[in-house]
Amino acid sequence: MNIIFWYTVFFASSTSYVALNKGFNPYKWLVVGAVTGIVGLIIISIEPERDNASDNSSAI
Amino acid sequence: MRNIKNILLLSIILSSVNVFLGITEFEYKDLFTSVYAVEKDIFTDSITLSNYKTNTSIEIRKGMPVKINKKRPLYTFVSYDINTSDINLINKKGAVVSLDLNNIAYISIQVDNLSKDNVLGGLAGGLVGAATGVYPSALAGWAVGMAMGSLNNESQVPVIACLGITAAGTALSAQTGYNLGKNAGSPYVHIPLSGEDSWRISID
Repeated sequence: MNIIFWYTVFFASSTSYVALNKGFNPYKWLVVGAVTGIVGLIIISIEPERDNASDNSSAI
Repeated sequence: MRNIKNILLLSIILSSVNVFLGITEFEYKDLFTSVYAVEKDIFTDSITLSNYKTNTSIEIRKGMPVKINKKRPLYTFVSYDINTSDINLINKKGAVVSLDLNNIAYISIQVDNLSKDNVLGGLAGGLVGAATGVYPSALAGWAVGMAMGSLNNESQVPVIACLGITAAGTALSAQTGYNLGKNAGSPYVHIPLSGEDSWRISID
């Protein structure tokens, strides 16, 4: 049970961190990473970086 | 944004460490060399009970009969565990019984075990036992002999059977009487292990 919690924290924060670096909303990707685990991390990893110009708060 | 990045990095590191610890079942104490105390049962097959007031000491050796707390069951002393203060005894059924000496008020030992066997008492008991047992044995032998003789009058077997039963019964009674007589003059000495006048245990 303990390890599942730390897995969730790890994938949520990793996904959120990658999303933040690529210009995506880190809070939304935090939830995505927590729910989907490694799948969310893979998705955000293969996602191309967003342009700063097109960045907005509602974008995932 | 900078703060969020730092928080996320910290979170990644913290969760990574905990996942690693969870998978490998690693504990921080594993980093240090474990030192284990030597936990070995040390048994001795004799103990010495000493009374410092009277300067008396009595040794209880392996195989000696003992009684606990002035009660009737007789045990045979086997060993004493120095670490746990347990004495290991064997009861009449052959089962090993461990008792904590701290919970025993009295341990009783036979004076006879401290001196030579009471042979005279045994002989007297044997004579009394033989005298007591000879009549019932002879009666039983006669009854059996008569029963066998009624079947065959000329045979010597009924006489031999009669004598045999009489002799066996008498010997059995004499043996019982000898054992009783041997122990008659050697009462148990009750040694207090708690209270003011308690005796102290020492190991040779």
